[in-house]
Amino acid sequence: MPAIELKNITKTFEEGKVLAVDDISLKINEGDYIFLLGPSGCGKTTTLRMIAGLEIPTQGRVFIDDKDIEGIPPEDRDMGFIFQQFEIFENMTIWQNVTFGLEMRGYPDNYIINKAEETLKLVGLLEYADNYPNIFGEPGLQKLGIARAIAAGAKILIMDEPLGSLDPKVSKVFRHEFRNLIKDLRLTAIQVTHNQEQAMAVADKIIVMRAGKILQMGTPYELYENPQSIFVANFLGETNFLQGFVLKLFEEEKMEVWIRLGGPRIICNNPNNKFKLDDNIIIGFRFEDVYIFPKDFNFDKSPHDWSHIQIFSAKLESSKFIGATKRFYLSLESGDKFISIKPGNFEENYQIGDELIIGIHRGDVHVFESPKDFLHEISLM
Amino acid sequence: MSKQEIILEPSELEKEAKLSLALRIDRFFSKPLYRKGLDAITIIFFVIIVIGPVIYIFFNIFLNIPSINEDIFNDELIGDLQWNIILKSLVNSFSIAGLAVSIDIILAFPISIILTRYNFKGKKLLDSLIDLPLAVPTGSLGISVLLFWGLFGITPGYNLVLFGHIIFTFPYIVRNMKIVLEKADTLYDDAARTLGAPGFTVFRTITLPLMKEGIIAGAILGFTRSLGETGATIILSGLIDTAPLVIVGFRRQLKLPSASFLAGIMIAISLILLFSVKFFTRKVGFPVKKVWPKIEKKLSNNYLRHLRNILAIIFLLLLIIIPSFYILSQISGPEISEQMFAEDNKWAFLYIAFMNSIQIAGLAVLINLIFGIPLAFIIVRRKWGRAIAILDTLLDVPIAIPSAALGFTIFLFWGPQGINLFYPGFFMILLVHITFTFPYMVRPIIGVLERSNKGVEEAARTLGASNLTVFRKITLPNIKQGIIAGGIMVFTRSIGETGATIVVMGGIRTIPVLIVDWVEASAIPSAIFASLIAIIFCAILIILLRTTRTGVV
Amino acid sequence: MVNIKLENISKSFNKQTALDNISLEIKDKEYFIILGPTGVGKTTLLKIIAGLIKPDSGFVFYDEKDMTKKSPGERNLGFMFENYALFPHMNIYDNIAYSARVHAHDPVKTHSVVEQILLMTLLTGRNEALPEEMSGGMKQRVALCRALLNLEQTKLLILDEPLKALDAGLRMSLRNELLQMAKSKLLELTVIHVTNEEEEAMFLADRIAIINHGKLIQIGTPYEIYYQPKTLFIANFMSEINYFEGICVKNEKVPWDIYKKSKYGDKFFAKIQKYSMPLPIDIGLNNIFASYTQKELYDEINHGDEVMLVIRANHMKLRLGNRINEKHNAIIGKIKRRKYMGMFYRFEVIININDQDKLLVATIPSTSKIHDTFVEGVEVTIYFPKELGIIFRHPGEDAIRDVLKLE
Repeated sequence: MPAIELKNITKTFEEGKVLAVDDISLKINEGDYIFLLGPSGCGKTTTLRMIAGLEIPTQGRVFIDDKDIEGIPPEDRDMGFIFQQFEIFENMTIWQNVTFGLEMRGYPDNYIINKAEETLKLVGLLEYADNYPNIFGEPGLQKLGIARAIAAGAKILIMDEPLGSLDPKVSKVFRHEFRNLIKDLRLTAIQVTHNQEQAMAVADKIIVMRAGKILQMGTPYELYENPQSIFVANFLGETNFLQGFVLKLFEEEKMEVWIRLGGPRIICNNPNNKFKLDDNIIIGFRFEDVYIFPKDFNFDKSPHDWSHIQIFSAKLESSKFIGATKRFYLSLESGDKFISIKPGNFEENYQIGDELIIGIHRGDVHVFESPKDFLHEISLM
Repeated sequence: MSKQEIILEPSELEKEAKLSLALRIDRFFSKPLYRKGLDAITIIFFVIIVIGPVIYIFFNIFLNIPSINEDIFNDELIGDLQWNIILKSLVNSFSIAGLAVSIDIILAFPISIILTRYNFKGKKLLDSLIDLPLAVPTGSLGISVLLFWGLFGITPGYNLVLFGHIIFTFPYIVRNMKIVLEKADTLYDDAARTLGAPGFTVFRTITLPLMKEGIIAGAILGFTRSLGETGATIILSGLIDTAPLVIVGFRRQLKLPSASFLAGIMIAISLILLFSVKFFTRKVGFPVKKVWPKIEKKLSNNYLRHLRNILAIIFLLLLIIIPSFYILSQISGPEISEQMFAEDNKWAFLYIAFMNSIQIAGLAVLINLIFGIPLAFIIVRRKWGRAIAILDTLLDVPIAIPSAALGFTIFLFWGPQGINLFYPGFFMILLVHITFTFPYMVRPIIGVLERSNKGVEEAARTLGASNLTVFRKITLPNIKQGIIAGGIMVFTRSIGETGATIVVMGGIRTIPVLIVDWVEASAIPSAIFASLIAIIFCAILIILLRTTRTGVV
Repeated sequence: MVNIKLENISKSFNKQTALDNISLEIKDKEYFIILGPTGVGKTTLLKIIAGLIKPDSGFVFYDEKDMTKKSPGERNLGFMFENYALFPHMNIYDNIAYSARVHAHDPVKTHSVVEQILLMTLLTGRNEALPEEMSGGMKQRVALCRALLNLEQTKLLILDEPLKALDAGLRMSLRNELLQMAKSKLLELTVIHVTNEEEEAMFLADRIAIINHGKLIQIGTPYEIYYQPKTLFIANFMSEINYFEGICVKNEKVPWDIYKKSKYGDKFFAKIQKYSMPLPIDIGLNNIFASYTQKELYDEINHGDEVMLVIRANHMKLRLGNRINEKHNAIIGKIKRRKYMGMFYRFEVIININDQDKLLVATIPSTSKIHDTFVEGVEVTIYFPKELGIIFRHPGEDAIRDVLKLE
């Protein structure tokens, strides 16, 4: 039974002039940690606020545990809210911040004291209960935000870029603590971010949005390994794109694609036999899925099994060391360029200008329809 | 961090839940009905107090056209002499206002730059000194100016009035320039410098255009302030007349239709100026495209800059600060006590006037607080579109209109000629003060409200707080400083108000009016003493204002 | 040609030291990055280089000429501010053309140059737009164009966190554009770029200067900073790290041949570990660990000294089961958590040293195709090659807590 469901939600502003969310539907299961991911202006924050009740949908319905919650204000929806700017009550003590929500619900005093103590102990702030929030740095403030949100026993956590105000390094460490807390409390959590790395690091499922629509929803693995659109592929991880057309069709949903201007021929999957002969398509493959071998590499003598790899040749334009990874900039005879990423301590003796052998697994080649405006598709906005 | 599970509370708890009394009251009064009711009452208050009298005067003029015509244009004895007097006074008022504002703008530029971009010991003191004229009764300033420039042989007349107005309007212009200068990030100046612009070019092409709004707003505010100046002008004018003086004169002679007519003209002009500010600011532009590198580089010389600053400070002292405080040097103990404690018991009058001033100021603060806070909320938070913009502009009407004219409209509206609810006296004075200080309460509150963190309020609401609880526990502590600032401003302006009070006072005296009375009766030492009391009192309040550290309008 | 030299630059604000005796040199046509956490003085340093602020002491030389007291305008540089600082009362054209007008250049020539730049950065046809109407990416481009127009002879471009205000995705693509533009034959710029993102620094820089608490800690190529960080702080700043505390046992006889080269061999590590030796360390396990370290440090550290051994999360490796005998620098542990991150998997592995549990992190590329076997709860051997370890003298418990921000 899904905890949250949206049916055909649309939201417009300024009397219909601005279309923020365009007829989206989604289901979120109880206990999931969900991310709404997309560029600025894609409608993710508006969607979050509609789930929370801070905005009213222009059309469509929001259901929690199968109940239509139209008209129910945010505070009655059993949700906890965490904000990017923390929004801590600075004129109240830590303790008072945490008991605030409990007092608003009129719970008996000893229950309030119990719950507040429990919650503060959970986030590790009990010893500071009588201090004011100004003693905290950002991680402390956000921990307080969490405590305040869950003290009243909320089952759903609504978060708008909660780590956005944290120093990037601190946020990378803190987000795991954050996720652990959510999982330990068995909360359903929905978080908005524009940072795919963050989403990939901790999400159970990611919903990718753009221009008010949902492009794809799935686990990080599904989205990364099986992007359904050029935008999703490009947004979640650096991807090479090449243009080509369908040269041959094979059985078992496979086809051969000829890259333009005399480029290589590549065999890839043709899911549901969607593409036909001569169709223009775009193939995409991740930077890290590109294998590089020297020109004279002997595949038979190598200890690894390279039988599933298809190969073609390319020229090395340059390489760049970036710490954890190394980038190799390659080009085809047609002039098309692409990039390969290897671990940073990948050692090789390639010189600029070398002709190298490139290898890709058939399963690592993603195919997409050729769009009218390719530049718009690969734009990250 | 432990991994224990949190046991979700049993639903029996919901039944046990009982809100505290305060929260229940909050919840009750948070209902839309009460909110709308409060909005309605506030708007009605605003309309009656602020707008009503202004509209009524035009109504009154319209009704009295025949007698106006008779009195002013076609008097049996003097023909249109009245009209000539009126015309002449208008010319005086406008020319003095124009000159005073122009001179003030030139001086305010370097001074406002010094106050915002430099740091030095005594900056706060200088800031407060420049602000003081805003709170002190202008009668006191008038005496000071009279005595100071009298040393140079300048007697009451046009020039003396001009010198006085230069002082009174200066704070308004500097204030507004400071505000926009503080808002204009030095970041833009830095960017221009990295692009090769010397100091003068940066000022001309970057700083000046960004100050545009402040300069125009300050100029118009200063202009209308000068137009309406009454208290000191009475002391400094000698034989000439300015328009407010003529209104006061007509009022004393009970030539009510004539007073009405002149007041109406002044109000109409002031309102036109007020409403056209926004239009002006958009249209006026500064030439920023052409640059003359050689000349501008020379003008950016550091020595020139220091020279400019020194000259500015000298003129500031000569024209504004020393004349304002000269009165303090004229305190002569024996003379004062001789007059104050003579047979006519002046000290008793002073005591009564002081009590009146304080009571009126205090009540004005209270009433404006009650209605000002809701009005500030309406303007900042309600989404009524155009109506809010109109409200916002109308809010400034009481300070845009010349005070004597304002006083007269109140006299007409509430007195025997109108609704006939009040007679000239304490309560009419109170009404005047409520009306004219209302914007000074609302503006600072609008300022802090706009800057207040709506996110925190939203957070509180998500935790179950009703609107009134949010207001009490979250918003109010945050806007406390704005309220205090507003309160102090209302109080000090009320203490200093002269022009309108004269029109409606009947037999009651407040300190500023008492000062004017005594000067007119040539009891200068007593007037000085009364001024001293007022200045000290207001100085203490201004210091209090500084220590609450808010942005002042 | 422009070569910038800073000598002993110090600056304080209100008795608080912002910069402490900084000396460095930026070479002609270099893409030079100043890297450090927020608030450590990077922007102050930049403003001193640009002439917007005067230092309390020290000198700034441009091509051997003392420019310390000269105004920004005399330095002929382009400066791009963190939030762009576009003049709000001027449109795109006027913003970009500002410096040309200030120098009273021929308006006709200016016009054609501006049009060219607008074309290059895809902004044509938008001349009349005001800053308040523009998106973040647009503003960034306009700010860049405006700075470029001022470059003239020196060709020095200074950037203050130019990508910070942009979405994560945009940051990647604009990063590429920046580098291409700087290195293009047409422009051949010298760039000084301030950032707090280490990946950005590694991608763009020819050399990086690390600043912390107003002090210059290290200057080097990305390689040097990554493989030979001078302090624990720098090591931790550049990537997620694991660390072991132990005692140097270089006088003892070690049971395994720590000199035997692993498959990383001579080639790679000869480059950066040229004169280095493997240092044996007892971290409290049965097997002795070893890590290569530069000869100077090797000579300085005595038998019995406390040391810290740092190894980056992405240099850790995993094998199923107990393989300690086969691998050196290996420990047995259990996978506590596994997270798929797209390009790699992030493993949290619990190990036990001296009866205390410790958490190690390993990031393994997902191309290694290890999905189903390495799951939570499984016993693994976690190990790393000795060539990739980084040794420090033990900096003290407080320093460790401070750097790693353990609460």
